[in-house]
Amino acid sequence: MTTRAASHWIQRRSLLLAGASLCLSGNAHAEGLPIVVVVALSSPTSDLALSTLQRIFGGDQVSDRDGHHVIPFNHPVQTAERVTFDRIVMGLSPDDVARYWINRRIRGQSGPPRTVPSAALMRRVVAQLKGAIGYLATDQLDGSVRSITIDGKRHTEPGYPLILR
Amino acid sequence: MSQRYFLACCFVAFAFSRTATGWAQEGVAIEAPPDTGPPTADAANSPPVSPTPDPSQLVVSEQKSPATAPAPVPAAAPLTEEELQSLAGEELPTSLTADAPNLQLYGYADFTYTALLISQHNRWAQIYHPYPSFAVGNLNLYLSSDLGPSWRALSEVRFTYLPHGTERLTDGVTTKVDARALDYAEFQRPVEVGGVIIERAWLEYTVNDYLTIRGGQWLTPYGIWNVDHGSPTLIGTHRPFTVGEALFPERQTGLELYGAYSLKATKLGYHLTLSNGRGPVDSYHDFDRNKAVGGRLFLETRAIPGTLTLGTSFYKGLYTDRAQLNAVDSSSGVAVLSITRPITSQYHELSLAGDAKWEWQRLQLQSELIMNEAAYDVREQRPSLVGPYLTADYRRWGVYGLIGYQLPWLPVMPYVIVEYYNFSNRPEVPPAYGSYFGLNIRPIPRVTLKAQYTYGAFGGLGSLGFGRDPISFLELQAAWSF
Repeated sequence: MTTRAASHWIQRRSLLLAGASLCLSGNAHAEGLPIVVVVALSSPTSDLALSTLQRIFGGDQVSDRDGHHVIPFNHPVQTAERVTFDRIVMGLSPDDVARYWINRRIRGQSGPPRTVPSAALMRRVVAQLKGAIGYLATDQLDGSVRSITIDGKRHTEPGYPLILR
Repeated sequence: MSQRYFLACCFVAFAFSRTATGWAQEGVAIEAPPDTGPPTADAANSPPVSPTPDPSQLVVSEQKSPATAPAPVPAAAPLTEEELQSLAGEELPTSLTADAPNLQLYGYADFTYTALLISQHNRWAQIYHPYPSFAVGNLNLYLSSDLGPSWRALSEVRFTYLPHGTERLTDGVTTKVDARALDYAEFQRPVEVGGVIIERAWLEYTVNDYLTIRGGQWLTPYGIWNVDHGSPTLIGTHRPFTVGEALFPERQTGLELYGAYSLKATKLGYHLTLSNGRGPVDSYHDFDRNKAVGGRLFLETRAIPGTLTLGTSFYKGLYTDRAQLNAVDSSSGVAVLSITRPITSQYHELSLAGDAKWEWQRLQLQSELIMNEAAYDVREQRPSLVGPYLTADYRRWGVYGLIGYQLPWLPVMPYVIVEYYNFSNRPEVPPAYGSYFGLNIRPIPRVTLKAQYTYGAFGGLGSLGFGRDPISFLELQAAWSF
């Protein structure tokens, strides 16, 4: 890459990042909004430890109190909800998440949770599929699903860990 | 020598140019983010934050924005079109609720340049291929299927050029296996025929969180890098020598039970195995009635800074090889076929191992200590350069330690591995000390570029003087998953 091309590339990248920042600042899901973990209204689960959530969304087989396998569903990777969720629950950046799942598959372990492309579909899947668990920004919550506490904390309480960033 | 420098420079230049390209592609993706699904109000409100390739975003990304979409990973998990349509109705699609088998194909491959960095007079130049070479080492294909609730199957096969070109020593003369065949579809022109190695093929049933039953051929669950054997996941260009020496059987055929119990940030897990054990054709024949047993206990915790995994493993089995002697006895006036299978080699094996791995932020430390001892009941006669000899009992062991640090400003991990292995079952090779220095570069999650320098020295001469000279070589490798 020549000096001129490199300079052009850096300028272009700066402009793109600036554009992306503007897009993000216009997002309806404001920074600081809690992400709530949701289950079906009939689910026996009312609270999960953050470490259990990490196991569920990290590929481990986990059952609820009724013995049903918990089936996690993710948001698409580009969404703020997904990035925040992966960073807080899995402790991984988007790049590291991709590597995590690639490495698991090569080891012969199970693959990543399925994704649903919208909050509306997330609500429908969680509400209707036995054992399903997902997450939503609080402004996407409605009466079809039930939010649960994380480490005993409701999303309205101080110290709730899942805050949109 | 200039050729080596040229290749090394090309490799490093390629690695960094790919990194830069990856960044540039990120920028493009931010400018024109891939559409991630049907145009729903919620989706429209979800902004693009990261264009990072994600295994669970394949179908949608590919359909909508092929120019900027992340490359596909076989672990595709988005809902299918049928499911999305079905979700619009009252009922959930059967693929989410019923026993709907699905087949996923994925795999990995690697391409390596290897050059010995020793003089022609070095003894090791006579043992290893002395000329710098390119090679595709692994081309492994996975076939994974969720057969239904709690049932899962996985097969992994490796395509290889072997046995063509393999060298065999007979009566002091080394000859190459010639696996060429005349291709009837191409005017009888010769083609080199390779082979397929079944790495694993198993079916498993998950009873509950604490018990999964697996049957078939599986990689022996010990240590870190026997199961984690794919070149894209290895930090170095290959596994440490001790792991590659199969002090535990690399894979076994039989039953495996495994499970784990989790308490907050700590997980305690186990594996128990029952198999044919090690043998000349242990994939499908056991030559004795003694089944091998093994197991592994591990503890993984995040209760301390980072993630710490500690494990211990064992294997106990009986190796048996038999000849088959066929004779016709007609002394009674009636010809009777008599087949006997005398034991030609038999030994009891015990293998023990311990492993530790600590990942904290960008730092990774890991180590494995592995021991294998063999006590013969029937000693085999082994041919060697100095004549046949009886194999003695032995206890071989090795240990390695790795330290790697992921740089904060580039996807590059410099690493160092040090190793000791005692070669006690091979009197011609003295105990060896190895050092590996390398760079592991991941320009994108699915591609790993590695450069590694290896130096080995020996603590003695050995029966044939191989310990007189040290060995060193350079490897440049590109490994990718698909």
